[in-house]
Amino acid sequence: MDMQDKEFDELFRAKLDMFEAEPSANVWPGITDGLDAGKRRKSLTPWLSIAAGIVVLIGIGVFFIPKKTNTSEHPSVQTGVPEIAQSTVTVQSQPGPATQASPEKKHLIELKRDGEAARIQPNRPTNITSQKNVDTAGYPAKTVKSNEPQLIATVSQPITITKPIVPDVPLQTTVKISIDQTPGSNLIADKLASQNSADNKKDSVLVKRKHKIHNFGDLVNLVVDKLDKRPDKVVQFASDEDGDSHLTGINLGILKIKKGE
Amino acid sequence: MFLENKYPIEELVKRCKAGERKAQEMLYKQFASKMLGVCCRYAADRMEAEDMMQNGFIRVFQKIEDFRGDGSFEGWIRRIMVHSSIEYYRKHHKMLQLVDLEEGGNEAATNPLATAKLAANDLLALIQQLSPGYRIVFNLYAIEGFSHREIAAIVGITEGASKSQLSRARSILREQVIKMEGKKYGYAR
Repeated sequence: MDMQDKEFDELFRAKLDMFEAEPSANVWPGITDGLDAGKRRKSLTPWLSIAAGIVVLIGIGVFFIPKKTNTSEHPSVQTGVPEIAQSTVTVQSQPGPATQASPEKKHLIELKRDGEAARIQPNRPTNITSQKNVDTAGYPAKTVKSNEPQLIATVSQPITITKPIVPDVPLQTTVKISIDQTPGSNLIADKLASQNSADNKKDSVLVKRKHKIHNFGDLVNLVVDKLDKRPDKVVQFASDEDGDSHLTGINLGILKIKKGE
Repeated sequence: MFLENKYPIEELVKRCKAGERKAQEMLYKQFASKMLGVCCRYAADRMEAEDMMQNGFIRVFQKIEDFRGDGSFEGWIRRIMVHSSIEYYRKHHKMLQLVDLEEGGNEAATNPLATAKLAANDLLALIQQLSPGYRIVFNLYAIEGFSHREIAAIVGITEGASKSQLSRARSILREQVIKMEGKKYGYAR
């Protein structure tokens, strides 16, 4: 760089290095806006990530939880009645092995069971209606009358809960009565009592099932009964007359397969 | 400015580090005129200079935690203004046509004494007429005192490009100074 360039630069430097200019009034508000926007962005960042996490969790819940409840809600009011009829039939056909022990008591038990069965059938609808009344009583009259789908869902839920309970509760009482009245019927009573106490599910299929472990299916059923308290077990086996076990139902929550009897 | 003697810079900086808005405003008022003068040299006009300074002060207050008091605060804030001005052009894609040029040999000779008669505003007007690339390199070299290596690193060009841009800028400025001198003082050659 020659001297001329240096002098030239120096002249500019001398005049402009200390050059000052008064800014307009809108610069400072622009700076404060920029600072506030930066703060907002910083403070929003963690909240946005938390909100995104919540949305993801809700999304997962929406995908999985309704499917679980659907499996228990599926039997509606219409399907409930035929199931009860089926359960009463199985009760009547149940005391097969007991008849050999004492035929007189068999008659007695059958009579009692028939009585119970007869009682169950009329009881079922009344149970349903009473349950409905209880449930709806908790809500304002307006919401009961409305046709909102949500309300229908709340009514159908208790029905499905009471369904499996109904057939077995009276059964236990009849067994106890028969024991009290006829001391000689211990064998039958024991069998029935053990059957009812072991089978907490009160499912008609389970009531029908023999409780001695004859095959692998019975063993699996026993273990699954203890572990899985749902009406439809994760795996269900049924034994046929020859003592062979067959897979009758699978319930994996989302995937549910149930064979008819 | 009027607050200059009221609070020492160290105290204002301390309060600015605590995020105190009033202290930020005082600091701004204390340095705004000087920093606008810096930005004006890098800008094409006053509006652009104010935009550059606004971005620069936002960065000053965001990064004030990093100032440890090793050098002068004015030097620190000034460097931020220069970088903010260059960043402004980067964002607006106004200065990326920098190419290596042959250093011009036929530069018009200027009379230094005559140039000295020109007012600061006149020289500023000449610089602002340069294209952004020439203006930035001339400012960084002639006024800020950076070397070509430093300019190359700051602007993101080669040292050769920095040299050629400076040479071309000087050449243009000389021509403009002669024209201006002639108009103002009748020195036309």
